Amino acid sequence: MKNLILIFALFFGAKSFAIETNYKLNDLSIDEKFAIAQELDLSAANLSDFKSVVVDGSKNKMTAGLLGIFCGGLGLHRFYLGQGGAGAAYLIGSLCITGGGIALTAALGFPLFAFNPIALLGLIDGIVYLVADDAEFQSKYVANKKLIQWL
Amino acid sequence: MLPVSQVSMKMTARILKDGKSITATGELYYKVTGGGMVTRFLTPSEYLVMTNSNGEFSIYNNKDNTVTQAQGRDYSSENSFIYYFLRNKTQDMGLGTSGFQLKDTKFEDNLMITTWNPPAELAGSMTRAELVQENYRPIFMGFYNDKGKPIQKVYYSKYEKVGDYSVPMSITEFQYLAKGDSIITKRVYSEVKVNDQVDAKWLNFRIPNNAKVVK
Repeated sequence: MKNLILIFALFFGAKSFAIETNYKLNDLSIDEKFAIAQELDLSAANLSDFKSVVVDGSKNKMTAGLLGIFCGGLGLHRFYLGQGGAGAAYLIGSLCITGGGIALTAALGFPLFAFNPIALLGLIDGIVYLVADDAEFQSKYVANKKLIQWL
Repeated sequence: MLPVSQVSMKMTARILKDGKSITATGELYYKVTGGGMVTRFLTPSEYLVMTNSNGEFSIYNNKDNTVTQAQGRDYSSENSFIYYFLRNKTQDMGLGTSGFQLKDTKFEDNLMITTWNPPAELAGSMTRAELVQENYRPIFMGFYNDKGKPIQKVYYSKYEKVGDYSVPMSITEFQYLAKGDSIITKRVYSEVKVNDQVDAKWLNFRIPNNAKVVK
C-alpha cells in the first residue's frame, strides 16, 4: 500500500514539473484587451519639439513619451525633462552595455531587437509617461530625477 | 520564384498598459541588398525612420524638415526582424551574434526549445533566454531574470510566405515590470509587396540637404 502511495505521489509529482510556459499566445484574448482599452490621442505630439520648452516651464508629456519610446537608449527623454544626470546615465549605460553602439528598442513598430536593458528602460519610461494623466506626469516624472522613476 | 530584393508591408502597432492603448500605423520598406530600411510612420505623426546595414540611423520630420541622426552597430537594420527572416537567419534570431551562448536544446512535442546564457554585460539583468521553434519557425522568445521570472516575452505568429521565406505577420511582446505590471506591444503586418510591386519612392528617399539637424 505504501509503495502504491509512493508511486501515485511520484507520478503526480513528476507531472507538476512539466513545462508550464505557454509558448503560444491566445491572440483573441490580447485583441479583447486592446478592444476595451482607452485609446490615447497622440496627434498633438511633436517629436522634433524636444529642444523647446513650453513658456510656463512644463514639459509636453507626449513629446517625452515618444522620445522615450524611440530614443530610450540615448536618454533623450530624460534630457528633455531637464534630468541631465539620468539622461547621461542612460547614454553611458547603453554605451557600456553595447560596447560602443547604442540599441534602440522596438516599440511602435520599428522592428529592431534590443538586448540593451537601458533602451528597454527608456521604452518603459515612454509608455509610463503616456499613460499617466497630466498632473501625474508633472508631479511624478517631470519632478522626479531618480534614475528609475516608476519603481 | 525570383529572390526577394525588396519588400514593403503595412504595419499597425499597438501598445497597452494600465487599460490605455497607443496605436501607430505606418509602412515598412526594406531593401535586401545594402539593408536599407525605411519605416514611414503615418499616425500619430508622420515620421520617417531610416537605417541601413551600417547602422546609419535617422529620424526625419517632413513637416519641420528636421532630422535626428545617430550611428552605431545596434541601429543597424541587421538587428531587425525582417533581416533575420528574409536572410533565413532564424536559427538563433541573433542571440549568438549578441553574445548569447547556447546552453541546451530539447524537443517537446513538435517544438525545439533552445536555452541560452546571456553575455556578461547582460548577466546582471537576466540569467537565460529561451527560443522556441515549431517546424523551424520561431514562435517564442523569452528572457528571464535570476528569479526565473520573465523580463520579456515575444510571440511570433500568422506566418506568410515572402519569396522563399516565411515571415510572421504578427509579433506580440510582453515587457514585465515590477509588481506584476506589464506592457503589451502588438505589431501586425499586412499587404506585403515584393520586388517590382514595392513603391520605391520611400525606399530611395533622401533627406533634403537643408534639413535642420536636431542635436
